[in-house]
Amino acid sequence: MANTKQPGLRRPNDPPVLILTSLAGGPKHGHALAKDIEAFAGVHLGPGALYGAIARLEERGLIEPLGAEDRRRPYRITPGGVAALADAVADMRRIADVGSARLGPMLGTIG
Amino acid sequence: MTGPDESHRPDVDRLLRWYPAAWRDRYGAELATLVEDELDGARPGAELRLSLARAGLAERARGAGLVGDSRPASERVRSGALLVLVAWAAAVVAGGAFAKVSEHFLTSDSAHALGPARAAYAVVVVGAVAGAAIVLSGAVVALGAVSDFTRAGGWRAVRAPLTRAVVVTAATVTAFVALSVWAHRLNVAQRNGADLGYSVAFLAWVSLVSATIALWGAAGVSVARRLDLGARVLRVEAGLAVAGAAVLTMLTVAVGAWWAAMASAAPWFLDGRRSGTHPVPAPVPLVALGGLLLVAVVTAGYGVVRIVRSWRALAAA
Repeated sequence: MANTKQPGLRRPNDPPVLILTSLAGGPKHGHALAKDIEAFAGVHLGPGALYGAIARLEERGLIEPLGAEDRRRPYRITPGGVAALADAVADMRRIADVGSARLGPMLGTIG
Repeated sequence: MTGPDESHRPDVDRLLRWYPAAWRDRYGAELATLVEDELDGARPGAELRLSLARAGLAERARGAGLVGDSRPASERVRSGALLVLVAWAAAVVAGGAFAKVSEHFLTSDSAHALGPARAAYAVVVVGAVAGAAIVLSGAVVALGAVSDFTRAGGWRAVRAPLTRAVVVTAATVTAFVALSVWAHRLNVAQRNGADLGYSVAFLAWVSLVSATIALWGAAGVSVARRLDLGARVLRVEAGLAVAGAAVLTMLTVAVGAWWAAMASAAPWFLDGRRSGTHPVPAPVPLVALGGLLLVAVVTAGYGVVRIVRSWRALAAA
């Protein structure tokens, strides 16, 4: 089983987190991934950064390629990728919850 | 659905040359298609070219085990050791320049005044001998693996870098013979800068020597990367690399100490002027060789960091 505590899956704007999040919505090829990530995160991943991260994720068994369509190859998230993304999301949620809780009173006084 | 605009296809393919061949075989077509999709018929801009070059070189470094932890510990340790070897190749070039710069320094002042410089010079010599012994030991330790590699026909994979090194070595030796014949027809002043033609030829020969050392270093790395080193041999090589890095650091410090001692005792010697003048004691050759040695030390230091970080995983394996 793939190690779910993956390095590089800690910050929400890390390319691996963005790619896994995008692929959690269904298989996509490179261009569709870049467009989707730009739409939901406002982050433009250049081709080099995108494929560097795809190679790492495939190496770790967190995503896998599907059959090529034309010259475009779609990727899908694996069970190991789902577990790694769930871990990363839980980490981010914990931080977001703490941030929200601490910001709550401050935002009340500002309002 | 229409395919991507193919008008810039060769251009896009050229952009991928920064990536290692194996990586291109696996992802090249997909990446090229993505680039074409993003360009949508436009020409690749400087930013895209730069980012692909950076990403491609990063893949090369990762593939060679120089960055990241995706390669096995044994490859990371081997890459760290090879970085130290590359650092020593640079140090040999710098050492040749130092030998020229420090030539006849003992005649520049009294023996008493030059005591610290002489001590530092002795440490440089000891460091150079120790470094040569370490590099030679590394080669001897790997001889068995080299023999297996050659018997298995592996030399074909390294024929190109070895041929380049041999050809340039032959050119260097030929140039050395021609330069020696020329030098015997000149007086001391002409050999030391008064004859412009000889000076240019000498500098060209120095460039050839540097190229020879660089090419043999590259050929050595090319062979060493392909050797099937057992865990024990790899541990010995790693130990030698750490020792080599330490000696290189000591040698660099000693060159700095020699420089400081000469700048204090006989600064005119460093600038090639007559005794008693007060030049700035930082001539270009000395600054250049000092810079090269510092780069070598940093490179070797990074190699040692790679070895140390991967050592535990290697020992466990």
